[in-house]
Amino acid sequence: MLLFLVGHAIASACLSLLLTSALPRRVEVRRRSCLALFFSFSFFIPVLGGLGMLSALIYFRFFQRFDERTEFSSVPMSPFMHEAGAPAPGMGEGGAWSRLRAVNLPRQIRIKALLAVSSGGGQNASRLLQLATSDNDDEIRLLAFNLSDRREKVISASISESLAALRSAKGTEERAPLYRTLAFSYWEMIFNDLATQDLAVFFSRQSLSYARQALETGGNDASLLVLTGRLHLLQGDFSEAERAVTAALEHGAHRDRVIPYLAEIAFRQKNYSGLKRFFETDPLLRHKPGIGPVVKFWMG
Amino acid sequence: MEKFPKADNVDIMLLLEGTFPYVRGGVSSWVNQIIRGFPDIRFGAVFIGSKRDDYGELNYELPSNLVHLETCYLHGFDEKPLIKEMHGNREAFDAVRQLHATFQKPNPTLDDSLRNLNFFLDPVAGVDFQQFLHSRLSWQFISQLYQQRCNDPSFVDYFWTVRNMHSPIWQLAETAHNLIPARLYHAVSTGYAGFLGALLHYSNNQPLLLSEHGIYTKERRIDIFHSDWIQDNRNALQRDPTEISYYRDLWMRFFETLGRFCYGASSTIVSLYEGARIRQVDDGAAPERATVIPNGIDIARYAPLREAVHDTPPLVLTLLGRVVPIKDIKTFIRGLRIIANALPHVQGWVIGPEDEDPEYAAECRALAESLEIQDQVHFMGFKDPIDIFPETGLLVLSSVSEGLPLVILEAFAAGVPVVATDVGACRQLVMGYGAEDEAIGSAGGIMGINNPQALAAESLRLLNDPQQWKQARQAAITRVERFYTYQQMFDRYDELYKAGLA
Repeated sequence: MLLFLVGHAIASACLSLLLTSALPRRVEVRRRSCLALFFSFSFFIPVLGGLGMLSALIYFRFFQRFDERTEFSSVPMSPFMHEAGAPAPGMGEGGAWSRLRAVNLPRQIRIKALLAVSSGGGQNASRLLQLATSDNDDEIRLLAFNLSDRREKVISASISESLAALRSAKGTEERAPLYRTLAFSYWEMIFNDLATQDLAVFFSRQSLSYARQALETGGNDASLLVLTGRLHLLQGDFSEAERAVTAALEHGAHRDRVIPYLAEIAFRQKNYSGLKRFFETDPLLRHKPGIGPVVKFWMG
Repeated sequence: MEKFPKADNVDIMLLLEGTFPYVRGGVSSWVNQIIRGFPDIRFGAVFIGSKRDDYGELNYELPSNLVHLETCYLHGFDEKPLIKEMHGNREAFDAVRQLHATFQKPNPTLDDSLRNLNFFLDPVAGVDFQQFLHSRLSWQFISQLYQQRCNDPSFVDYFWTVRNMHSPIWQLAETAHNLIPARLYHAVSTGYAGFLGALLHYSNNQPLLLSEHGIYTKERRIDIFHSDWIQDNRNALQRDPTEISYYRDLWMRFFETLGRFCYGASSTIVSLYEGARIRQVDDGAAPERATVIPNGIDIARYAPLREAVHDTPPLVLTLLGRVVPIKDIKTFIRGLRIIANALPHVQGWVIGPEDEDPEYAAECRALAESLEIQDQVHFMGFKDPIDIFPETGLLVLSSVSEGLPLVILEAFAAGVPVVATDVGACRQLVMGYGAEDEAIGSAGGIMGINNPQALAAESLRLLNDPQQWKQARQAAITRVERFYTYQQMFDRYDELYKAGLA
């Protein structure tokens, strides 16, 4: 009996050692515990335990390649990307702002920040360029001026072309689309913060005037009605703004686009319960980027 | 073809790029003043221009003491060397290769061998124009540099950019070689004129004096940023939005190197105000050679205009300057739109030639129309300021870059207050520089660039308050009479010319 037990113990130990040596490297630190577990299986469950462990050995050794799998894997660049050179590092808007505001940074870094911001569009870029035109560094100031001028030039060219076409246009059919383009082009200047203060007031008047003429000659157009509403809102004429935006809704403007303006009009009139009612009519708004957090704030 | 005065030698050879006598402007007026201010000196002048067709007739009557005038056009020349297969001078190309290696380091300068005119003219001693254009080594060198440095995918664009950029160097070397002797060279800018001056200085061992009105390299930067003809062929994946295009950068570095070469050769480097002097030193000028001489004007010519006394300021804002982007005429027009909201009868006069950048001039007119002030903005072409000032309420300068503008001094002498951007010496002129000057008071208003709101606010402040306007007018007259006279400027140049001619 003793001889059997000793022989069984030796056989179990050999099997356990064999299995332990086949373990993947990443469990190396707990090797003794594994050895003890394997041994107890073999010793106390003589046949089934041994067979089970042998099957495990065969499976893990020949079918599971733990060693070849790394903890972090990455997809290699495609050959096309290699040919195109390293991907452009770029710079986020926040990073660019902070670099540009740090007057002690080397000029080259600040110029890079300026170029990064200008490669995007929108109000923030225009504001930053405007800020940079009053920078103490000549180079920064001139580059900012140039970049700002380029943005403005595109919209100005569109206005000039439309005005020239309007002079030679005959009949309302030709004029209506030009009025529409002019309304949106003047608005673009305000929207992109390329016209501020008194100039913005002038541009909003121009935009509104052309939008009205476009509506009169070209019939109701949901986008133009939304624009009209926004212009009235900008000018502080809330009742006209509400009328235009509601009309836009009636003429097919998408709810998601219109409700935020109606809510803003209600807010500006201090009608907070009205504001909530508007948000209630469109539950999906809370998931939209931009307006989503505002809806969540008001609706809880 | 004009008949230019010719001589065998001169005392002072002026090196002029894109200014007198073909192009009107502040620098040209200054050159005209200087020549006439020293009637005992025999002047010569080399006019450096882009292409002959870009310039019309002479815009100035030539002073009698300008005894020699010749032109040097950098592009569009007819005589090109015959295409001939050649290998090229290996040693000379090695020198060029070394030079380009130094361009990778901060503050590079031209190698000694390239200071010798023979390097550009003699195929045995250096790289002549034919070798540059047609030799195998030249091709290999350009191809190699493209592979090593250029991040733009188009080799064709790179090749022609390099060719067009460098060709003027051989034109200038040819001009330097054929130029009549002079005892002193006086370049009125860096750039190509400054490079020619440096070549002349090194080859003839005569002193070079440099007077910089604006900072040439800075103004070229503005042009290069503004230009649409410089290509960027990189696709969206290759383009780094934080980098300017390779060719723009290449052009800027080229002009910076020319500037540094000229600073190195000049015995005295004159700027118009302290800020410009500091900038010159930053760009490589030796501080001990850099000095400031402000512009001065003939007060007596403008003083009689003060007799046209107005109880209230005339509602005319005049911008005197070329209609080009650097003058930012658009901000003036936008500002006028805002002023017209408060003063519907206000007028804006733009006095200056439009032929330098007709596209920009068209954009300015279109802007006036889009702002619905086309009846109030008048583009009047070039006119003598004497005819304009009596009806002007304010002179406005909306430029994004200036030196020390003569038009401000002229307006001051005529008793016209000025609203100007805070560039160059404008603040110094309007607000004063130093305790004595500042005590005189403000001669108008100062604003940031590209800020029509501020332009309108400053203009309205003066136009709406006759008392303030009169005070500014008086300060303007006092300041120009005390600090910016012809005599003060001529005395300083007299010293420099005497030292140079000695």
